[in-house]
Amino acid sequence: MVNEKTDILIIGTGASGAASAWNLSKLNLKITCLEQGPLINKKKYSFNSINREINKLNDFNPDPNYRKLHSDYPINSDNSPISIANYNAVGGSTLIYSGHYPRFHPSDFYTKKIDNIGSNWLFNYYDLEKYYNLNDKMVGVSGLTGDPAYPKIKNLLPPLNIGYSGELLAKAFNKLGWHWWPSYSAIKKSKKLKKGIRPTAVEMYLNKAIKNGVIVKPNSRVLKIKVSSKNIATGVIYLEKNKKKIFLEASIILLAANGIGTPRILLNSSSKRYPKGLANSSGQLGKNLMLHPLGYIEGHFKKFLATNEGAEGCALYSHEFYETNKKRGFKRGYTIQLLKSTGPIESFHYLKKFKKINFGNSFFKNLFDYYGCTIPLAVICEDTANKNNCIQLDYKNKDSSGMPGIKINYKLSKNTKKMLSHGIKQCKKLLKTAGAKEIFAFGPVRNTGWHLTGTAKMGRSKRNSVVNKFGQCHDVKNLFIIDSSIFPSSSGVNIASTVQAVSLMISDYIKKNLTKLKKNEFKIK
Amino acid sequence: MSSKLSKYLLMKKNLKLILNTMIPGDNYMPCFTKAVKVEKIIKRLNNDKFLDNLKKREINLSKKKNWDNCVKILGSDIIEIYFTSNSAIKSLKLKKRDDLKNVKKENMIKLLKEVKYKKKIFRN
Repeated sequence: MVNEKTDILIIGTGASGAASAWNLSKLNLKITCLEQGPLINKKKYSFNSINREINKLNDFNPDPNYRKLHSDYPINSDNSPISIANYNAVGGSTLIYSGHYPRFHPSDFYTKKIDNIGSNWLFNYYDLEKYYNLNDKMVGVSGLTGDPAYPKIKNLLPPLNIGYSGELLAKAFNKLGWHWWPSYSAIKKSKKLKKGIRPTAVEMYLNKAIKNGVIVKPNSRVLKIKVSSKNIATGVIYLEKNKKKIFLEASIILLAANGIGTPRILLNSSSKRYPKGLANSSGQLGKNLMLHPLGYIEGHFKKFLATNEGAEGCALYSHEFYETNKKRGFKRGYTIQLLKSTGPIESFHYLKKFKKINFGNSFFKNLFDYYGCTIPLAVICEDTANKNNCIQLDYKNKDSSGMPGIKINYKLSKNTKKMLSHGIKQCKKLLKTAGAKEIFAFGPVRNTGWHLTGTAKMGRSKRNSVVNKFGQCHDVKNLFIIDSSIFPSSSGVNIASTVQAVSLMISDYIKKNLTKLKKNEFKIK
Repeated sequence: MSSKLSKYLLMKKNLKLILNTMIPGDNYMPCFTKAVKVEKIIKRLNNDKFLDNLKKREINLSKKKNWDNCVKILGSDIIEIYFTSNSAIKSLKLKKRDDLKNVKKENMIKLLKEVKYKKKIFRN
């Protein structure tokens, strides 16, 4: 086996890995990022491209089991109503995400304390605020200051256009007296292009990190993390695309492979000394999986509203039902998001699925009764941790390098079921108020497991958690987890902004304690 | 005219008929072959058995079996090619402009001010 050496190793180049790579790149150290996926030319997946819809139906489909690319690993979701959505490449899932970029609410950080459900974080919104602000600046977040749902968020770029459907819906919200606000989006408006530019983790952070000397190695899949007899991570074994096995020695290792990929590597790093997987003396690794169950509600209108245009993920949202209200019969709550409807190609496939379109004389009539005339809403429910919701290594289904895939065991809790049903009911009411002629709804939607949290949760004690408040593994002190696996609660909003803010906070901690960490002196406050 | 050429022309004529019957166009949208050259589809199908059959005789699309077979073979492919053609994109834009001609644009900030939102439900 070939040997290589680096000071800091980051596994994964998605939202969290890229942010830390940039933050640490100003140090005079050798930093290497290993990414199991390839480096893809942006022209291939640009969401401005007319090929966007086709891309989604082919190699850029969010379902790894559908894509089955060399860089993907199999994820068996037979024991779950929700399947996993992700992307494996330099930039991670930010290559195909929607760019909806809200922060967590302050209450999300202490749900146990205020609502007696879930777990508290070991830091709060205000501890993280400085990193949210830095991240917003790096990413370029559009939005509008003054949302009563949040503490004041400053320095936002101008909000995106909410479109005709947004205006129609805003009036309905106003009629009902419900909260709504234009979305926070990681999309910059450009006069030149007329449309928004949605940066990926590559543009946000990684290109800047590379300029500062960070080495990014695509097509490099980490198989195992090696640990010394003193419980110090010594490096990783990774496989290049040409199947060459390499041992990469590192002083500090950061795991940023998402809520499924991170526990997968740690579970696969089991040994005689760590039979349950690395950093798993608590037995919590891979457990407490949270997914943001999603309800879909579609209102059909008699007129064309150009609902297929506008912000990719969310034009406006409502947090009217975000906080706990005992009268509703469930704890915590959800976000209502106004989505963009499908373009002509996806609209055709959708109508075909429900046998509502035929080729021939009625083709365009069928299509134009639907295309641009529907308002789709999503209910994003806060999920709560449950030890039975977990991931396991799947030795029957292996990836292209022979590493075991993942099996998901997941059930919706009673609380979430009630929340989802409440959300769908309220959205129907909203669409009816907006004038929808027909409403169609279902949930949970299957292929929506984007937001993977809780599988290596943070906590004070090594008896019931995997990492401390700085993502440092209780068992292996020079091993840090900087992705959403460490979240003790899921919130009811998209997680990308918080993932990156947390990653920046952890890498700042590493920077401040670098001398001690490099000397393997880990008793730091 | 060589028999090879006449077979090719028959196949092209049949294919044109099939494509324009499947996507016939309307007030805004062009029929299939006005948006996409039929040669593109021939190239895409590249010596498929389906094309060979079109070389034999004029196709009768009123026969359900023939029609179903055409839809099965061409279905999804022609949708992608059609809607990514410049002509279809232009027509969709034109249709959008006309459909939205009488829709009044609202001011978002004005709409936000209309919310009489005084409930204290957020715990910041």
